[in-house]
Amino acid sequence: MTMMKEAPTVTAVSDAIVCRDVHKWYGDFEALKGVDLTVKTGEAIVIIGPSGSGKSTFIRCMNRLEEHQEGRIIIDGIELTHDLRNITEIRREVGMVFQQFNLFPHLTVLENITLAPINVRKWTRDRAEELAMKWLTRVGIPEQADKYPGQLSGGQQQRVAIARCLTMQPKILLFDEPTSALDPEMIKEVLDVMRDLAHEGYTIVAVTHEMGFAREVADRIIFMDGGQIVEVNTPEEFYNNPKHERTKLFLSQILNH
Amino acid sequence: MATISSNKPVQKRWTLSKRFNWNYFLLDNVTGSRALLIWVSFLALLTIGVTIGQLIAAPVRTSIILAVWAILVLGVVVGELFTAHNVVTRWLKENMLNNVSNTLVTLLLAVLIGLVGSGLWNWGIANATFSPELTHPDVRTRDGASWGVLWGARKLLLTGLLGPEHTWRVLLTTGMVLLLWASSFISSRPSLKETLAPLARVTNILWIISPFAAYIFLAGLEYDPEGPFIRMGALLGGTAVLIALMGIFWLFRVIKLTPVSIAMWVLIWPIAYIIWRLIAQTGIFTPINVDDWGGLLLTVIFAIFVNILSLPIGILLALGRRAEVTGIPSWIIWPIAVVSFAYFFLNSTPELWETSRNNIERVFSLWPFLILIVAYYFHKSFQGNFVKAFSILFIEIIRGVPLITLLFMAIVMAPFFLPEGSTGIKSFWAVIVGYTIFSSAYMAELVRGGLQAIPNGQYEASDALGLNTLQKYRFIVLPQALRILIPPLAGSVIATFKSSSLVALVGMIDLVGITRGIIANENWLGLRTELYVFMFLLYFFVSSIVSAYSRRLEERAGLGVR
Amino acid sequence: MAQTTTDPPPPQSSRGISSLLSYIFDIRFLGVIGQIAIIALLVFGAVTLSGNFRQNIDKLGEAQFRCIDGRVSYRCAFDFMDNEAGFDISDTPLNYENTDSFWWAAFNGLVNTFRVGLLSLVAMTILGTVMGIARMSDNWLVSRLALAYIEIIRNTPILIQLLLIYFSVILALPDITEAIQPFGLPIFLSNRGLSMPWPQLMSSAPIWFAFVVLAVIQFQVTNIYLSRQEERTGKPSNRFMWGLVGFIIISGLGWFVAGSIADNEGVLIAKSSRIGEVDDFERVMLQRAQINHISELENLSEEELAAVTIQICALRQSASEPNLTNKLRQQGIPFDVSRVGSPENAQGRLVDGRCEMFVGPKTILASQQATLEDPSSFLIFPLDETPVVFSYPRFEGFNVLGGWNMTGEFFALFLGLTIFYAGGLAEVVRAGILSVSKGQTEAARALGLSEGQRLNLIVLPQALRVIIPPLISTYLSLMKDTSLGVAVAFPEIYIISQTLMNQSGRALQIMILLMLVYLSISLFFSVILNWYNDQITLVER
Repeated sequence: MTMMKEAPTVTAVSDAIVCRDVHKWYGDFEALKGVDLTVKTGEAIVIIGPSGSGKSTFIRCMNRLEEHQEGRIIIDGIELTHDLRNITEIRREVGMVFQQFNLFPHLTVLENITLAPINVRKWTRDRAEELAMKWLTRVGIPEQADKYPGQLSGGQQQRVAIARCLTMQPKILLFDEPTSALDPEMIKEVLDVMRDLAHEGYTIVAVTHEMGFAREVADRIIFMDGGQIVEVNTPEEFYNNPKHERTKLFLSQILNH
Repeated sequence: MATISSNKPVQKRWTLSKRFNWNYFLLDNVTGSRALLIWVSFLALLTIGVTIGQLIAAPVRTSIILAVWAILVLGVVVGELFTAHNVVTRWLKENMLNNVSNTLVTLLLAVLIGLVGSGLWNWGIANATFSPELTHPDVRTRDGASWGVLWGARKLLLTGLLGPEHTWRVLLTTGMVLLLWASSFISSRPSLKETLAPLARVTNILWIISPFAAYIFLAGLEYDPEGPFIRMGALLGGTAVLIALMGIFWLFRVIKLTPVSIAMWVLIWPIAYIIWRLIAQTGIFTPINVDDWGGLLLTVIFAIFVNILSLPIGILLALGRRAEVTGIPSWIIWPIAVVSFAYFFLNSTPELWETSRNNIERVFSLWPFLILIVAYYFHKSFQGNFVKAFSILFIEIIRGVPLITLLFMAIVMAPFFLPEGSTGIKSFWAVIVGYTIFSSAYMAELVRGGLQAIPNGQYEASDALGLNTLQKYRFIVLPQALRILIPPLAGSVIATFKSSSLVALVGMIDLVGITRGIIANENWLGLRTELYVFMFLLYFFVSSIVSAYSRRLEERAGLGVR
Repeated sequence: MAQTTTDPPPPQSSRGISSLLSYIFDIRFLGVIGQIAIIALLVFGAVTLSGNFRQNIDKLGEAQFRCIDGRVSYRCAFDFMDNEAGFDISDTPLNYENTDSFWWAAFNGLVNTFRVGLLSLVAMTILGTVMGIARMSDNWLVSRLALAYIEIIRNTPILIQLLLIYFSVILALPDITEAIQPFGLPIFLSNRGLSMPWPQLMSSAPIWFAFVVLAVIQFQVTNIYLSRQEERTGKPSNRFMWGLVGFIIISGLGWFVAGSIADNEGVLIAKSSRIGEVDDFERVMLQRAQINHISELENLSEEELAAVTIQICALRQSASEPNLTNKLRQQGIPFDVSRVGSPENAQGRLVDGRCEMFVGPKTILASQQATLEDPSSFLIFPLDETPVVFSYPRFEGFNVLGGWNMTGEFFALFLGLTIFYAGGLAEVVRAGILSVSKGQTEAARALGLSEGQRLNLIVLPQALRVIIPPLISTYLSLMKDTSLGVAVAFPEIYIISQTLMNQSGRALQIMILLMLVYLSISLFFSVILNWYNDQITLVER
């Protein structure tokens, strides 16, 4: 049964992310049971699924926050192996935004953003700060640069986290439920930023429950359940004409409440 | 309904009813339950007994206490009966004379405080003498303290056996530290922070230099006028070490290489070395035998030395204990274990077994099995993670042994580990080593607590940004952990300061140790209690001040974190 | 199941230098190499040091490892421990002479460590709990005093507290002849320590214990029976009281039965003394002193009193002695006890007249009587016994005999450890009780539980969960700090080891033994702590 029909011949390099038969165990529990996925450069992917379906684990395998035990993951043409150089290289090119923001509370907003560019990319402080301010302006909070994260609202913190991630000039962005810890009125300001980024052509893989966002922004929607990809589809098809029973059940549960 | 109300907590029914009722009063205070009755009777008997005893022993004092107590009780009773409390009686009713048993306890404690307090007052102040002239056994007072010993023996108490010609060097060191501290204190005032920023920077640099300066002041420098002014080996060796360090740091991307920083790394040792030799050449700071340090000086040096040394070792041990590096795989462990087992089992065991004199020795001759057991547990419990296994073993063994045993061992065993022909080790250094080992094991556990308090997200965010392990700990983890650790670290500083008194038990002449010498002097014969009380108060005040200061520091450091 | 059309790119080239590099930069490889480097470094350090060590040991000479038979071997490192110790121990729980072995001396020290440690442990738990609760008292004076206690104790070194307690308090107490007796009880407090009456078991004690066990079983049975009956009839009965009554009856019965059927104790005495039973003592005493009533003994001068005093021989630490002397004390008869090490010694004293009688178990007495030159001139009369006798402290010159004595050193160390660690425990207890949230109290009240039930069923179980882990750590620290006995010269294991080291000149071996002792103690407490933590996590899951 084939689900994807587009793009038969894609060279390896223009695939931003290639996952083949990825397995991951926590002790005896198999969290990922052979996941296959190819994300093209510039594509925006949204992964949805019930909790415990392995979607977070999957996205965290992509920059080695979790180690996959079987299968292959190739990011931007670099294979994710135990090779330290590859891991460093991939993490440099892949930015990640977390559910809990994970800003460094002892550093100011500006220090949070410039820490990695200065120490990992080896930029000068001026250059890093210049770019940091540019991104802070883009996400709409340049005036907060000298505050500490604890002094910001949740939505502002998440926008700082996005700016921190983007100042590293990554090629791929991973969003791990970026709006789940936010109050409803702050979700929109974060989603707006994400939407802009998608339109600018960043390769995006996002785990989210925001159906509106998924429908509007995603090139493809991936539905995961029980550690497997159940369905891959375009947003229209996914919402209007889901193929799989489990997808239908899931959609009916989250849409009718 | 009835059962519920009977189970309700006992309330002060007679106060709620606004009118005094003997039945309720007795029920609440005396006869409410069998246990209460027994307790109140016991308390009453005890209080009456003690009070009568004290009335006979010290009639005036006890009568006054009794009278004051009676007036207060009367005031509360009147206020209660006529529901006309004033501020004083209300406070008393709520805090001291709440009920019969509390009223009795108050009297009992007041009488006892009177007893102890008057005893201390008479001994320590009323009957005490304060002149250093009056400490000789022939002239001293019999029923009070002879505080004169503190002034008379001040030199011994402060610096021990240090020659008087060196006193100025101790004063110089103290002055330096106080000056630096004052400078830090002033330049960190919020109102002056901006204007005094250069001062703060200079102070910080001086703080880094200060330990070396303090060492030069207090221990002095050797200088052999016959020898060469500069030893090329020392000069180049030190430089090479620093260049190697620079290389490692650069490799792990902790520092960046610019012409200025390279020059700094390369030149700092030669400059320091030449300054050192120049100072030594002047001959101002002649060497002092470290074992001559004594009294308060030694106590303070111990506390500072050990705290400064044990923090980095403690951090390393804590990191080691939490390290999740890939373990040495079983296909390396087992062959080594089995081969060495076989070797020793074939070569050592038969001979040992043959010559064994009893069954215990026979068991010991089977020691090669220990290799297999260790290998098994190393693989099973630690997954071959040697760093973790070593850290845990080190920490737990050290924490399982009393401090004085370690200190004693350091003094007794240190000579065994020195190369042949060396002149022996100074007790001071042996004790410092033993003490630091002990302290760093405890420090490691503190730091581990701090590291555990840091959310996993911080590690993940650092990883996701591509920081390497060294950068992750240097920029993200340790700054936060150390901030969390300020109160426990202050506690540990106090604990080290307090337990440094134990070095007296292994023969060091610190504050406590010097007492033995002082009371052996015929002028101050047997004046232990005065000295011990003085030290008791000294330790108490210093510890209290440090913990108060740490609370302030914590508030200030907490600003950035919420 | 999800098939894709894109082919996976080929695995990266695995040839030549790049393949080698990718092995080197493998984080698993780096981890292992790093560890091996650390091991190598440690081994290098150990080898360097142990090289020195070996040289120094060799230099120290073969004496360190000389066997009894004169050979030299590392296996004989501990042979010296069988040698005669040659030093006295001021306070020994077990029989110890300076001719005993090093092993025995060390064991005495170890027992002393546990004696003082365990006693302080119990006392510290009680005092700490009281102080922790006092800290939260609604009496302002009580809570302030408790706070002052905690702050002062925690901010000063235990060593100075200990020195103050020993040198400035205990040694400042009156002489033994003017010992303080608090509240007129038979407890004596002096600069020699604390003495108090102590129960000693007679040979009939096991029989009585059997009865006590029976009484405990009865208590349980009664309890179960009555509670079943309660359930059946629905009427409450006073089960605790009935159980207690049964307990008292059975154990009391046992006391008399055991006392009367036992016929083990006796007195070996010359027939010429005309004492044939306990009741004869008063008559003989009246004759000797030529008085009409025993109370007139007070009128005698010291010399006269000494002349009529009954001289008793008894074995050291024997329960027979208080059994007889308690009876004499009741009758007001003056007596003097010499304690001897062996029955033969007592026999000798009996023959040369230094003792008038020898009190002890009948079997020993009979064998001694049989070996006398003239057995028929002596008789053994039986002595009643109760299963437990209280031995009272008595002063003979500057010694305290009988009862239970804490030497001043023991007492100081006990007080020092108790007071210091109670200060820490008070905070633990307070934190534990405060950790039970107010909501729990309110919920308990809402359920209609009484105050007692609330404390027992809701507050305590939750508070204990917070209290017990730090409590166990405190116990461990306390046990380790018994080594502070060296400050007051109490002969526990640390100070004994020091002496052993000076006596034998073997530092290394003694250090190893000492470390093993302390590590075993701490291992024991760690095991308990881990077990408890496991229990908690099981419950919480």
